[in-house]
Amino acid sequence: MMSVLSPWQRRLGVGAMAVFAVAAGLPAAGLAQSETPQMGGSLVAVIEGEPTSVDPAFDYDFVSGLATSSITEPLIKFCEGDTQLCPNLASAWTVSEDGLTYTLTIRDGVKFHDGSDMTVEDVVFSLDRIRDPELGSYVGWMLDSVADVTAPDDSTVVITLSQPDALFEYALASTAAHVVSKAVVEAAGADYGTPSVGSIGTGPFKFVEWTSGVQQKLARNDDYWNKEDGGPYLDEITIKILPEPTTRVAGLDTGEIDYLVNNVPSDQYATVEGFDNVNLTFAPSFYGEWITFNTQEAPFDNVKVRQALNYATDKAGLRALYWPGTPDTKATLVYPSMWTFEQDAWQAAWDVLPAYDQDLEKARQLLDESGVADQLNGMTISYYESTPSMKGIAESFIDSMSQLGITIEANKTTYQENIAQQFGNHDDYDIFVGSWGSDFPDPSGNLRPNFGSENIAAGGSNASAYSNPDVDALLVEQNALVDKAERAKLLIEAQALIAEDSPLISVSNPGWPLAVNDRVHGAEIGPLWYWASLFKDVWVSE
Amino acid sequence: MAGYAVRRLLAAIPTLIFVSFVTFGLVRLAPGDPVLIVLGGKRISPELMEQLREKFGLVGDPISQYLAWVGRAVQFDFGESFKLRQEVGDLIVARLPTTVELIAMSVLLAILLGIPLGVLQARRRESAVDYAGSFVAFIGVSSPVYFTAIIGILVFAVWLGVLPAFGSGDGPVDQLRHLILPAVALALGMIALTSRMTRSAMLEVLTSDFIEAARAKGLPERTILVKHALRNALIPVLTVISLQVGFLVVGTVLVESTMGLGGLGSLITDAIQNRDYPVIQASVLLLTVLFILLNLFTDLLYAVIDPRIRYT
Repeated sequence: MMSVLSPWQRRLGVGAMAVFAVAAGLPAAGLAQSETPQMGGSLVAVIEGEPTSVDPAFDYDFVSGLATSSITEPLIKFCEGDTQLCPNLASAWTVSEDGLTYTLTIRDGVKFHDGSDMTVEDVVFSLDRIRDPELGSYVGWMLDSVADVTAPDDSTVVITLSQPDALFEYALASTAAHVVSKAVVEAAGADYGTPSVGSIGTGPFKFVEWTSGVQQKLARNDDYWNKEDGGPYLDEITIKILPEPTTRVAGLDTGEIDYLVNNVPSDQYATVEGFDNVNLTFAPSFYGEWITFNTQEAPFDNVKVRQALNYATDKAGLRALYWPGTPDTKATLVYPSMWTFEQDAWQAAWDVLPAYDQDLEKARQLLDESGVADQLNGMTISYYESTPSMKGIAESFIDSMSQLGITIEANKTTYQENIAQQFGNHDDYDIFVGSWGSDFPDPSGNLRPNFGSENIAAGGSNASAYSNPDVDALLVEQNALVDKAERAKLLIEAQALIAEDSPLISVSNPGWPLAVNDRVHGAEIGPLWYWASLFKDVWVSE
Repeated sequence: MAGYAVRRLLAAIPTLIFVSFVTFGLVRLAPGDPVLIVLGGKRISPELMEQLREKFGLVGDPISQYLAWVGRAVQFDFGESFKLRQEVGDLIVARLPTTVELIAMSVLLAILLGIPLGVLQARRRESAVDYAGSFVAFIGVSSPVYFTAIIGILVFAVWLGVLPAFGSGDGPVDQLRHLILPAVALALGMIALTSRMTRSAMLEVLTSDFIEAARAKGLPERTILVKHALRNALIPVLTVISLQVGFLVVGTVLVESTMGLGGLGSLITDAIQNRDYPVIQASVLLLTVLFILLNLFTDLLYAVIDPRIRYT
């Protein structure tokens, strides 16, 4: 048995990371920090599009979670800056030595919003429901290695895996492990989670109403099970839908928007920082933007070409322009924020990892050696034109290549084309600007989806079509291990191989923006804010 | 008149069939895989992709897909939105009122402001009022709705702080307050066109012999303008307004997403962006029906305004 409640000891304070104020939305300057939270009041949060559902089974995006994760809750939760796991609806859990059996102690006295008790039967039902292929849950894949879920007694749930899965534990803190009421879900049938029916959970806020295309309303759950360490304080939360970025900025200015996570337009950060009534802060992320190409097609099947393009890209210049103060990147998607275990080993590996800092001479030399540089001439770089930073990456790349005497054309794409290129058959782009963020606080959450060859097929996330049997073997092997030191060793080995192969040019690791009105207090986000219950400890001063 | 209306409605059926067929084909010809887009940017399993394709009815040949869709549509079952997981019928019922309110307010503004402005301009031709009206119309016609909306937000919400920047409000009064900016932004172009059309139609009528005759008879100027001139000038104005309502629908798409009003317009834009076939098909069909009804209504209105027009 291994202990899972290791206290968090080290902050993620490496290098430029320190500039990030993780504790966003502290009381504004001039207000005493010791001010006690006030009960009551309401808050307006804004999201950019209509949520998919308030059914956790379909919450796997950046807009649905604000409501969903306030209504229903997972068995365990991410904590300590989203780097560790803490108890939630399960008060404790243990993992067997072979990594196959998870035994969870389910908390007593937790009630659903309709007043009924949450039972182990509800927990088993909730997990089995997500696993049921009939439901087609968007997070069903997270429970793929689950063989069986049982409740041996009134306070214990046992989950048996068919094979050890290092990432499974994290799934228990995602929407895949939100506990829903069996009676309510069965009564609602297919309408569960839609605006007409809504949802019922154990969370700090209750579903009130959802006006399609306009807003969702939540109200405080006065019977919340976990009021000892804080809220819920707010009487009411309104989550409004506002697709236009310019209007979102105007709404922050007028004070009509209290809370805006992620959807602060990146080219307006300076404007928002200039508002007297708004605090803009950034949380570290497991997210990055990068350039890639189909590594199975000429000339990108030539490692020298890939390394040359990496050396040609002005990553530091782009970071300074679009994400000042964010961490440097090296030739990996495992950002320092993701060293959630064996930090020393990761640091040592980072120190020797190539950064491919811009060096046009070296790029020119490598291109000459490759002998296929002329094939690059006239190729296109595809990017989604509505994201300012992605446009910037493409333009900077075109500029750098022209300095090498190579003409690259811009291919602006729509969102649909962008998705098809990143997740399609790899036959519709030459060079591609993309992005990826890990679902879990684990290095393999960025390595396996992007570099495992099992993710090359259509629908898969390996946009480089990168296939290296040695890397595959390491990634698969580490996933079956329980010992974290051993996992780190294998992942670091894979990372080094990938860095040398240069299938992808890692440009940035931007922070998640959070803009709040200065009457809002206790608002905090972490790298995995999209899984988090965001409003429990938030309060407002009038 | 009733017989005429029924014949017109029956004649609309082939139009609807044609429109539904073309829409069905076009959305499928547009690039972009709905399944990939629904799961946009996230990790997915091939099994789930296959399953969704099945659920969305995207397997099998297009003709039988179309016939299956028509079979359900005639029973008012338009299926479930791919992206939003709600019944398309419910979605449209929820979203339609906002758009109808917006359009109704804009048309009302166009009639209440555009027509009097045009009459005044025609009456005081080449005066300061006429030039000022023409200038306003020029601005109104040439400003894109999106731009007008943003300027409106900046001036009335950010600088003056008298109107909300976005959203739809709680309760009737607050809702009306929230509709002012978007409705004005939407109506500006229409007010401009209506006033221009009224002005030129009035100018033409005011130089007719029967107006001279009325003046010679010593009728008061107000009676001449409203009862004799305007009534005759209204037919082309009405035609323009009715045509403009079509453009208003396009305008609502922009205004709704700019100002966070979840109406039919934003539903359609989202659906097109997300390749949400069932929503696109049903919305386009609904718009077609609305246009057919609007045209019929306009034609019938002609007869009310001008007794010489008779439908049999």
